[in-house]
Amino acid sequence: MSTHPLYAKIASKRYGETPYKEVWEEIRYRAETGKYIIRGFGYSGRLPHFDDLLLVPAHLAPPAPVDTYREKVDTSVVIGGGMVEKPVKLQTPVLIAAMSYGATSREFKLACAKAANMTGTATNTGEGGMVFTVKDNGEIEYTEYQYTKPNGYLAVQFASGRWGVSIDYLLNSDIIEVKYGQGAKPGMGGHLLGEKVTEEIARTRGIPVGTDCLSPSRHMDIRSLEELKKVIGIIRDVIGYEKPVGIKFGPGRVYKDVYMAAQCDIDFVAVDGKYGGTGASPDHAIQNVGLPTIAIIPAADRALRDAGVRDSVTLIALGGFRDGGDVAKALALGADAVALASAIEIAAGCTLCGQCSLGKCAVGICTQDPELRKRFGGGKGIDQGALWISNYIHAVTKEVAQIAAAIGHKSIKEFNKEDLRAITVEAAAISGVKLAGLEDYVLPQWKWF
Amino acid sequence: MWASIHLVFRNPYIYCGKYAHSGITVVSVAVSEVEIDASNLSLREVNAKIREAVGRGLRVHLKNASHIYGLAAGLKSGDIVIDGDAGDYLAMLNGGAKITVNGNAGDYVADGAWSGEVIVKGCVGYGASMYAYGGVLVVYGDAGDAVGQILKGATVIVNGCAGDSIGLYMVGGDIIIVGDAGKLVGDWMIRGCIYVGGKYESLGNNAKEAELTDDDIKKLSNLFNKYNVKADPSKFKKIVPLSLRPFYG
Repeated sequence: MSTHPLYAKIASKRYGETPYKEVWEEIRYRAETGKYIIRGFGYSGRLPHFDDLLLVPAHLAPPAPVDTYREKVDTSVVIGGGMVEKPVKLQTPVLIAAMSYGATSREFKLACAKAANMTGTATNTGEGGMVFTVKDNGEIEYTEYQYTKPNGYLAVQFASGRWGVSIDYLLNSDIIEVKYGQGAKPGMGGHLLGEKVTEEIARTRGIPVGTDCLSPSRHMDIRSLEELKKVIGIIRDVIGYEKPVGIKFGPGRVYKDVYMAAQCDIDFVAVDGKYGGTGASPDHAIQNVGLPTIAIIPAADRALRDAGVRDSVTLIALGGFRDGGDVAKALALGADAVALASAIEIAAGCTLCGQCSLGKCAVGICTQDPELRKRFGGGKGIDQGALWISNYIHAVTKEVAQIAAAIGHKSIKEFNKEDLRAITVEAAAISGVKLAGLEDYVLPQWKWF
Repeated sequence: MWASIHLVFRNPYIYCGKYAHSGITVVSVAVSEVEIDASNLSLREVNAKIREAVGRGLRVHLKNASHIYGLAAGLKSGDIVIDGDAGDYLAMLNGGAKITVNGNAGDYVADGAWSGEVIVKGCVGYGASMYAYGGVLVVYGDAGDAVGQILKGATVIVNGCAGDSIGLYMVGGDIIIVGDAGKLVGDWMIRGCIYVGGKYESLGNNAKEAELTDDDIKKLSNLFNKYNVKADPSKFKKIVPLSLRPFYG
């Protein structure tokens, strides 16, 4: 029996509209290799995000807008203002998020540190230890820390693998961040493949060259809240009670996690949302595990309030920030500051190829290859990379200040949820922001918070 | 601050006066050892006193410190002797101190240490020498589960027996159990060696027994002689990784 000439086209078109069409290559890859997919960057697709929220400007009804051409908007943020002897005083709410040395190059890490100095913000070592230099006399120079001075700050991570974590690592820092998770692969720990563990990375991480660096999904020496309290107490003790200590979570049971963390005498908590990036993570985790950033910020804010520590604990949000609009919306949702990783990499020249895990980054960011590292900063090196990153942070900070002014705020600390309206029901429901037009919450439960 | 602690001057010797500025009434005769009674002191108070004493070149003799966790954490040098038991996280992040416990220690002794020497005359709890990059931990009694997990390069000697899951994810260093070990020895180990003098219940994933070499026997002999461990190195079983790339291989 002959088929109609249109049948094949119709069948193909109809079948092509199924969800399988989009993932045909992924299924074939798994079939041919028996492996799951590892890639860089964050969630791919459409989740409720900052684009679903809009900011509400001021006009006749007070407060009046601030004139940004002659009136200054305060963009400063203090971390550790309540308890420590050396609080961190940032000039901008935009921090550089944790990206590990090993996953990324020495040039990129030092450009981030230099940009932190140029903008008065903080950068973060990530979990792979700190970039250092062995001087001719054998002394260790903590280069990454020094590059942040005199105006910037360096946060060091205390993560589940403890790569490069020593007493000197903690002492040569401004902030200590105990890492529990990250946005791209919450609950999964980390893994730097042996290919990236060059002689220099091995020295930094204190292991043999070529060894896989596995960061377990949980801290092996912290099995309870009581033990977490002890470890944070010890960290505070060894650094002389001078510097802020906090905890970073991925987008999991954020309210409970943050509420428990608030019992641990911390100065800040960081929560990383679903658009959070990665150097190398399983695609199935990136796409399926974790919650949107706009849902976790209000949950973390509420947990700190319920725990009675909101005034003393700084809330830092991560996960999918691109511009001043995103930052302003996060501050209005309850964050005090934000930290950016993917956007910082793009500012430094990343082309979003997504093949970070291969160690063959063509722009010298996610590689340890000496030849490829020469391409960093468009071939001009650390100074150019630092300039691009600092330009980007300066621009985003100005955008945040202009938005604050348009809303009538003289300080970014004045941002609040009434500055926002949601334009989708989903975003309104998960973030607790009033729906535009309705001018009310779509779920009555939000009125109770 | 120093007025509040109980000082016992031992082994007085003639002193050049370099450190005679800090409150202890010493003019021409200094002390080589200071005794601290930690009975009513907090972590912050005890460690501050230890650091000040170490900074002044004094040996520290500590007692009644079993309630303190994080005792002697993050020291880069010093000689600390603890009479009685010590709490959890003793000598965490040790950067070079010698710490001797004339009793038992709690969980996570020498956690994340980089160098130095921790000697425990009694037993230790869970997770001894986790994450440790360097230095030596010697336990003359038994150790609990999880000895040397994610060990990076330190040497751990347990003169008694150890529990389950020793050497999980270890990437370097040596774990030496003179007595018996429990289940899952060397589970998912990536580098390093485990030596067991007695029996073990089971090997973990990615762990296998290997032949003892002359270098192994020499290494064990040197350590046993140094730390007065009575054992025959040639009788030990050596456990090493099955594959050097057990993940994503």
